Amino acid sequence: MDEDSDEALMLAYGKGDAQAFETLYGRYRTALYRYFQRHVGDAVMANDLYQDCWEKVIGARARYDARAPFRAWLFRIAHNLHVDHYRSRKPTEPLPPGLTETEEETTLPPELLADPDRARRFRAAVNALPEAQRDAISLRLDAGLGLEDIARVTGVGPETAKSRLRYATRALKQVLQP
Amino acid sequence: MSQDPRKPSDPPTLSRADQEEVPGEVQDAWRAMEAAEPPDLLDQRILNRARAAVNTENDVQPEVMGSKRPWSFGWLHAATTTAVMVLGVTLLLQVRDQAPGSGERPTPSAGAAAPAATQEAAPPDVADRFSAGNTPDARSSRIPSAAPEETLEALNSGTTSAASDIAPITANEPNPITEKEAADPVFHRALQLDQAPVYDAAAEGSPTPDALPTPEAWLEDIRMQAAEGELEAAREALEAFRAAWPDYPIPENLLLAEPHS
Repeated sequence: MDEDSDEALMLAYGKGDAQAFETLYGRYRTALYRYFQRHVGDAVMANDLYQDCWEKVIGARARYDARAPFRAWLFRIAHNLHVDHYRSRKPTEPLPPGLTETEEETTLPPELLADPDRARRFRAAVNALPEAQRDAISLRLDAGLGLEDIARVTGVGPETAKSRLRYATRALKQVLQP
Repeated sequence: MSQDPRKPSDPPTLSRADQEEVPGEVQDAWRAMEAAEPPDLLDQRILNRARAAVNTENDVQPEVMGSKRPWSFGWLHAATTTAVMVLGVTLLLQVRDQAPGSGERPTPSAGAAAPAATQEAAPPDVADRFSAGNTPDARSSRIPSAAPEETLEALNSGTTSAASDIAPITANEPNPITEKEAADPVFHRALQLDQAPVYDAAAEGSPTPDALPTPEAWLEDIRMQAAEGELEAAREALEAFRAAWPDYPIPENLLLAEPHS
């Protein structure tokens, strides 16, 4: 195993090497922060989740199994925190539509498509995506995970992950059309 | 390793197949969306926590072993040691009261180490091994008499090396442990849990996975609870599960069943 690999660094941290954690942190801080930002509108909450996620990494350092890619492991923790966030916010209500079950074509609101500002249109479309689809594309583009890892992280089959990604991509592509 | 921790991470690279699934224009637009960096203060706080976690681990001090630190498992060792000592002393006192010839042969640790029914049959050298120098504090009546130190060590470490030294156990001894049990970490855990304080996942914050059921079994329990309509209990159990296994994927049917049913 390459000693600079994420997995080697995490193992080193598990053995007490704080510097290894700092390197890992530097590699993933932006990606992880953006992941939470995409899902949680509230900046304070995004900060909290981000911090919680790293604290869980710190707490679980001795349990880390290097057979699991660090990147996927980290984002699995992040995904679970994301799900828990909704659950704790409104424990008596169902999870947001699409957080777990939607594998459907996304229909964006017509007024969104009418916005002349391309960037704003795109951002609105991202926010309008069902959670599961946004999660899938964020895990792909922010976290850099492959389909198999996205499936593992979100606890679904690869085909489901693929569908979610395909629908999200299709919807976002639609708003980029001139 | 001396990389600036706040250096922006490299953009994730996608395989060709992945790139084909997410067109370049979508990727560009995605990355063009404004996204802030984590605040410096937050970076610093997390890095401090990470350092503190390993620093406290590297210099374990007796006075902090029982303190409320979510990163430490020192309490487990302290609790186990205390429980074993209390058990040893209790057994010593019991054997002293019950043994008929205890006045003639005041070897409390021998009584503690070997069951009363086997004391007479025990050869002198075996009895001597448990007299002077072998305090009864860490002995259990369920641990056979031949090699108590090694046996206890085997139980503590979960290894099998010392278990082979265990002497035969008489039929009179209630519920004796076998070699297999002595070597079995699960059995050892049960012994510890018998004596140690009840584990409180919520209070501890960073639980010991060994003290918990397997994730699969735990989730199955939660699923059963939800199916039986005990939603509040299922929710609480799920939260405890999350605390213990933050990285374990929750099956979707459980996610769906829990809030809806």
